[in-house]
Amino acid sequence: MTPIDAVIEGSTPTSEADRLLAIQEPEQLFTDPGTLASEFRALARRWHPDTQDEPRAVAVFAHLAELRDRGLRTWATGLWDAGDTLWFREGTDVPQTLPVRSRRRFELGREFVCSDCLATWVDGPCEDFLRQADQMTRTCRFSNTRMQAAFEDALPRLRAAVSLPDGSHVLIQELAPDLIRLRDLLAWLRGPLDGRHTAWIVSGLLNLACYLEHAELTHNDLSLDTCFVSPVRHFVALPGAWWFGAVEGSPLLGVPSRTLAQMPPWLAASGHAHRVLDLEQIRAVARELLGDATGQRFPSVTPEAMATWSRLATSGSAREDYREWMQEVLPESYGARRFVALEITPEQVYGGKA
Amino acid sequence: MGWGRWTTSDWDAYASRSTTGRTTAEIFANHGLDPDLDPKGVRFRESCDSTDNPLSTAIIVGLDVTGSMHTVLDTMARKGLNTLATSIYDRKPVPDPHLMFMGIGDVEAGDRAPLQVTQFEADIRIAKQLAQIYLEGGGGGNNHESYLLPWYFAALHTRIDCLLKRGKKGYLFTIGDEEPQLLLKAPDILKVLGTRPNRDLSAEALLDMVSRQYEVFHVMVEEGSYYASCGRRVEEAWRRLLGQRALRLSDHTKLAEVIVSAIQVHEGAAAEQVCESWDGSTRSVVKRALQGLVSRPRRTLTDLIRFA
Repeated sequence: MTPIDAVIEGSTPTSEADRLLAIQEPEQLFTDPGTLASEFRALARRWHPDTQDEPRAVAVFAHLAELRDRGLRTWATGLWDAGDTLWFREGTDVPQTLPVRSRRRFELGREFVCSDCLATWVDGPCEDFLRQADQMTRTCRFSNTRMQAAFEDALPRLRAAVSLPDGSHVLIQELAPDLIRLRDLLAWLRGPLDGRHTAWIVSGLLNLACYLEHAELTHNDLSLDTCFVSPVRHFVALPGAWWFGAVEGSPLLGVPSRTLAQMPPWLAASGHAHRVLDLEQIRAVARELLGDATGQRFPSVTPEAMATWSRLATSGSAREDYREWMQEVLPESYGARRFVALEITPEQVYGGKA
Repeated sequence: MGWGRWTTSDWDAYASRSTTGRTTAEIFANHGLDPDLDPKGVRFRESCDSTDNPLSTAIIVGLDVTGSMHTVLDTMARKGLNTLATSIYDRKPVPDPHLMFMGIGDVEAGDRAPLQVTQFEADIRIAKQLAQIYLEGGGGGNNHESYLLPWYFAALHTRIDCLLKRGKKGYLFTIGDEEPQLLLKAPDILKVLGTRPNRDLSAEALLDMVSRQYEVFHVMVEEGSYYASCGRRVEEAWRRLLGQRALRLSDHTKLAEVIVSAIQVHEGAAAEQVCESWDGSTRSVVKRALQGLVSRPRRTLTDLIRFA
């Protein structure tokens, strides 16, 4: 059923006018850029004031014309977000489409989780961050094949970069089909994650932090929005572009304001990359997964050792944080290690969207 | 905690009964740590919204109670507290203040009460609890007092609705004349609070922790004996840690006005206007304290911050 069918089905002229006037964005009305013109013509015939008796016909017709004009302007940029599908084109090329599972707006543009890739639209003025992300992807190096095997799949891998007619860009990165964004997982759960699952996610993040410390890299945007997990594999990945990443000790290009709020005061004043921020953000992720970003009010079932660890400051070393977590916090919280399956699939979380 | 409102009639009645015409020793009559203020075993001190204070703001004032700092506490009990409460009500930099006082001693020097903690209160009960603080007069032998204990307690043992319900941090002021403590040792935490973290915590680490929940300031008492001899060192050490949030206090009788002014500026008021709003000698004390202090930038969580 097209969006227009959904508006028209079962409606009277009065209710149809209500529904049409309530539509704010062209992408909510027209199926896709290719059908925009024909769909507008069909609606215009229904709502032309010469043929439509509904008293608000003039207003509806004007509203439809405005949505059409805005739709054309939107597609002229090269990007069209039609709910379940993302349309984009380079120059006058044939449009490409990607099936969208979830989306978010962020500081540089919009990000779309698709079934096997992560697509990010970046506004033109943010090109320096695009270059930074590209540089970071190239800087991820491994000392040996064992390290490569352990971490490669958890790091960003660029599939394609597309320049749109308006000077903005779409970056497409590989995403294993079993990965779920942490924010989407929590939204689906409608509550905190059990501590036993928080445990393996934090272990995975600290393991990645050890790699970053070894490679002298910093991510600077670890959050529920940028971390993905595979419940089946107990695997944690950072597949999105590292817009805010930097080599340890080098000047930061910029950070989201939420990151600035997490920065220790001395680090915010320095403006240079330091691993402490990633380690602090991992604790912030742990607190959010456990049910309270402030760390003040966790569910009563949360083990005290885990709750306290998430509230304490990092040691400043990824290896030491990892050791403390694995050798002290986890055994004190849950005893000996054992695999606890998290029986949630991407299909459940994303409602069967491609 | 946090029911009731501050009223001048409550204060007048309290002052005439409990502080006017009394000596410091008579006001602070405890000869040991009052069990009500003992932080050991406290899981959380809570600042909760109520019908009286629907938008509560947690404000902690940690006062050095070692040796030469008695006068600061004494002045706060006689006059400063009323100025603090009424000025926040009148000037409204934050809504519905919930005040907590802490007494800061020196755990390394073997003080019997290195940390004392009241409840969060909104009415005259805070005056009564302030007077329960044991003026131990300890400290000495090192160049700092246990200024990190309030940070640790605030970070791990307070629960504040301003943050939980509105994402708004509380305020934490420590006041003293010595340098910041650089390391809080796990055995000392165990001794004072009865719980032991896995490792010692540096001042920077504790500042990171407590800054998640509180806007942190320190007020350097320039009249203090230690500051008089080592003032430059004290100032440099606090500025390294807190930047311009290390405030100089040239007249301890104006502590309340400096605290209120710092909150006003942090909440967006222009420092110059805040200074001008005070009379006579207060103005110059506040002006000196606020030097370099800037307002918290207003940002949304989706703003991009560029460093380059």
